[in-house]
Amino acid sequence: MDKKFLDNLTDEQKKLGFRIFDLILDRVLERAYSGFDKKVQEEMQKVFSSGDNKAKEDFIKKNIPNMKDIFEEEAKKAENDIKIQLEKQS
Amino acid sequence: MRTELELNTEPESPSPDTIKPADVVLDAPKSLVVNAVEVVAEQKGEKSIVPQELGQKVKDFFSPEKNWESAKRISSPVISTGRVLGFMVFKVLLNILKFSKELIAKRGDVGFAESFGLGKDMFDYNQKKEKKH
Repeated sequence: MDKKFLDNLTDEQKKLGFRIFDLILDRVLERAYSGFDKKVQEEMQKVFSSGDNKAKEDFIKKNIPNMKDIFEEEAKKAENDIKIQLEKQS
Repeated sequence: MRTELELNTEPESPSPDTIKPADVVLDAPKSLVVNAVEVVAEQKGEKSIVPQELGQKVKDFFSPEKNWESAKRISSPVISTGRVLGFMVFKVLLNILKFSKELIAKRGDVGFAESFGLGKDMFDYNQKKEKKH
């Protein structure tokens, strides 16, 4: 993925990219959050309600250490789901 | 000014094998892709157990939209993670746009074949009718 590709995107396509980003992140969160016990879930709510970016970063590193891998897996699944939906629609 | 030859030449339809990223970006059917993304997002969103407010705060934290611009100025591991995730997303976007374009090209061929088949049946029907007389 090079910068040239990003430069070629229209504003609409960038917006669509951000929407896909949200969709994938929702799935990553769902997976992580459902695996947390009540205490960690509460801690997450507390940390992300604060303005402390370092605390948020530390929380992610500690509790979702394989976030990039999960994100990659969910990105592939989401891509597949969208392709299936496209086939249904066309 | 266009010559007579240029005016009479019909543009060739692109083959899915020769699609380049730039072509995809220009020609992909946007509304089709937007609808598909929205349907998939809604399907999953309905079942979510993550509190909506928390989900939004985490998204804001990682959002490439908010962090890309400041990435050059602030060297933070969080921002670089956000960027890596962002690039993965745009790879997905490129694949979806390519796929939708190929799908449309394929469906177009089927449409033509179906129309041709219908026309042929009608033509054959008239011929058969004539033979009977």
